[in-house]
Amino acid sequence: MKNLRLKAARAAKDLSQQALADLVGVSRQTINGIEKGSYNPTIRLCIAICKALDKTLDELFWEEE
Amino acid sequence: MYNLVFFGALAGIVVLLAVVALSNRITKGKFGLEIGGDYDERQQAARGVAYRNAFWTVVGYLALFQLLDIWDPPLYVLSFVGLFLALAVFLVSCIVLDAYIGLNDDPKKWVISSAVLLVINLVGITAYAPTFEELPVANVFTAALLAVILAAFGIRTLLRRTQTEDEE
Repeated sequence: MKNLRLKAARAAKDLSQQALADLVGVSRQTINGIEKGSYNPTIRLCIAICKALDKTLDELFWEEE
Repeated sequence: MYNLVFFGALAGIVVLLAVVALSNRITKGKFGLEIGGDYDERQQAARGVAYRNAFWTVVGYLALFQLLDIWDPPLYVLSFVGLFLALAVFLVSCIVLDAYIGLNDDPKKWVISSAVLLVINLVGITAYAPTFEELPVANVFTAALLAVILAAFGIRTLLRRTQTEDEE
């Protein structure tokens, strides 16, 4: 399932995938995979992304029914 | 005779351990050299999947040819085929799963050089037209392995490039 909230939060911060990837220490392809839903990140990476985007885990990663 | 074989095997193992220890120190920057860079969590997971694929390839290969007894090549050929098969599966898995950062740095350069090397290797295989008995088997499988890997890499890089550009 695509993570459109992550994509929107990144766009709101005016960050490219590469810029966010650099902030959290992963490759651009990994950020791309998370946004596309093809990769499930570890909790450590989720927290790093949340901190970089000033969001909570719920706001970015909690899947609502 | 058996003593020579034993000491030869022992020397081989010692050399292998020394090479692994040295290469680990070099790649981890112990001598001031940093080779390969860091892999992120997704890429480490991808390499794990690639190792698993290669492992089951070897198991399947051995089971197939030992249990079914459908092919009876010399022992060294049997060993080489298994080795190269597993290596090809591992490397192609890594490429398909995008396990290496370095390959994404300059896709155009890699695609062009891959295509050139692929053609050279395919021409080499065709020109040799080898059989297992006529030529050192390692030459044939090295060329074939390179061809498979480079083809996989070229295709994967092109596909990924178009996909990720769309996602940006």
